[in-house]
Amino acid sequence: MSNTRRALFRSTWLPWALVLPQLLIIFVFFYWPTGEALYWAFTLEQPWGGGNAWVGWQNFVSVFSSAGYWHSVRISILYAVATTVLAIGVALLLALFVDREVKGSRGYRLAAIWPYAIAAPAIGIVFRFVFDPRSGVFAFLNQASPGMWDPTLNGNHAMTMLVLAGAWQLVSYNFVFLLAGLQSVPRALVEASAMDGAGPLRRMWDLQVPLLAPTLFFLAIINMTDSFTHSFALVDVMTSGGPARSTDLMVYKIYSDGFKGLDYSGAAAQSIVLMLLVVGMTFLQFRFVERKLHYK
Amino acid sequence: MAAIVLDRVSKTYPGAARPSVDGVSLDLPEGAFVVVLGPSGCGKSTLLRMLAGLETITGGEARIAGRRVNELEPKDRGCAMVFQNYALYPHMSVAENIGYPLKVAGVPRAERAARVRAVAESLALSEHLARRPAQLSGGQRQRVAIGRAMVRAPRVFLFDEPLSNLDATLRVQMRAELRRLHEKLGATSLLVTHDQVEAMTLADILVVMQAGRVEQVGAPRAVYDRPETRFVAGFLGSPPMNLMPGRVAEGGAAVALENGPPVPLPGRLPEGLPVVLGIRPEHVAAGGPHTAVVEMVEDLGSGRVVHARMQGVPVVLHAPAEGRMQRGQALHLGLPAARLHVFEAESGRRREPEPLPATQAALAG
Repeated sequence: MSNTRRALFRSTWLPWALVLPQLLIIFVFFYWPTGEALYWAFTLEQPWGGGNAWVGWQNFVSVFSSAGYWHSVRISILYAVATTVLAIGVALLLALFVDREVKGSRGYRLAAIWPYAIAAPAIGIVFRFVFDPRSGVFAFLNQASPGMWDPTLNGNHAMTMLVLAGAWQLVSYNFVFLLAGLQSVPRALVEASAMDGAGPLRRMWDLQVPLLAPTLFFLAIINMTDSFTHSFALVDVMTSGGPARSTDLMVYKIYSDGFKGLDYSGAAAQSIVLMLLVVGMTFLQFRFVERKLHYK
Repeated sequence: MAAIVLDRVSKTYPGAARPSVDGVSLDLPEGAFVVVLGPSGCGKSTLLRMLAGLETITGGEARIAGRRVNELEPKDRGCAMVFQNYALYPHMSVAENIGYPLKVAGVPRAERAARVRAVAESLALSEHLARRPAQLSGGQRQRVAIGRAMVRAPRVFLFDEPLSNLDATLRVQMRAELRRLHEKLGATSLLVTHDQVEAMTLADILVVMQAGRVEQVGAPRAVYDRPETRFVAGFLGSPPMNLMPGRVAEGGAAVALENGPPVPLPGRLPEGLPVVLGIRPEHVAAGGPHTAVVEMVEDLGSGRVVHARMQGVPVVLHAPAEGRMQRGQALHLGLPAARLHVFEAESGRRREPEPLPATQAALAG
């Protein structure tokens, strides 16, 4: 590697001092809690504090043998897949439109990323109003036939609502990546396919989408990871895991089991499982996105 | 096969002060190989892209086979295009690339495969059908691009500087190949280039463009022998034509250059007219009234190109490969009247000297 770009320090303490704040933050907010959770997962914590007992794999055994946990895993996967598909699909459509019509309009791109900057609880509150069965946008459905739309009573409706809100936020993030990806498709290629007789839709399907494959795969992983971990605020604000645990996603279940059910050890075991899941998916991404799906 | 007619075709980009293509009118017969030649930025590529349908035409009308195409989608114009950087689809194999226009057109799989095979055969690509473009050499990629254009049997072939990314040897080879293909397919071909050798060797009809306008249209030989403007004279030819400013003197029978003896004209021009005198390097004669000093000699093997200074004016001439010719050597040069080109200094247009009356011609001769 080149030595020219490496900064040279005469003293040994200065570089350490410069990295120290960052290291401290990472340690205090990431490694320490993770380590603590790992420890708790193998012990039985008392709800009101005051000592614990080493129980080995017992927490994991009880988590994995609980039907409620597997239900939570199933709906979490459902939520993650649905949100990802919807968010990528809509973002792709928007990006294709923008790429065709207003090439290079930076202002629009900036405006489109704003939803990603909105805190999830705020989104949750807004969507709660939007989807409110009595006063929301879809309230007219209940006028036509009572109970046709009620996320507070119907689990499927609640899940749909969560997926829509989750996807809404991810769309903006995906849009930026997809638009950038589309604009890096050489113009001549698009023109060549136009000369070859392909209409706009055909060009999207045969050319732009395949060439976007690396970006799409990257976004799929990011969205899935995001859906597994960041869905907490949405669930907490919009459904609190209900009705009847129909939106009790893994990340929310950790919170409710731990802080409401006061089962710290079970929650810690669940966090470790979730963490391994996310680590696994990140590994997949690095392993495959970097290697395959590149045509160069 | 289709004739192409351009009627005062213009392109002004939004916000641009000057049109990029400025009222170009051309009448190109069916089956011709037309080469548009010009320096970069002269609007030649824009012209081609307007014909292809990749740029909108902002003024005038383009007709292919008698049909107005201004508003048609590229796919409805019956043109196929070969791009400078090939524009092959990186995620498709060679066979898929060549077959793509057929696939879009809904040609059944079996027929498609047969046609792709036939095209690949004619371009010596049969062994590479399963490869991706990234696994091919430059020349092979170029042939794939041509194959993709050929497979649809278009009426018009458009080439946008197709050879400029190839190395010199390959370029000569592909040039011959293009010409051969054109003869075989019989479609009308329009090729845009800034390479004059390409232009001279390929064209049936040569169109020289500059600053958005057509400078001259004609057979390459005719354009070379009788450039209509000073620009064409200076652009075409390697090394280019010598151009020397002067003024008509001696009652209109000669041109006085800055220094040295006046140069006799083959006819008469108005006395005192500021002109630019042109003569091609190969026409500068050894021995004559002009004195020159050799500044540089370029040996091309088959001959030599001599850069000299003739009474202060730089002059380039061809010299045979043999004989003494070195820096600092004094030469005597002649500028044969029959080989002179005269351009008006102001407009840059060719000005033909009026022939002398027969008696005077006899006296002068």
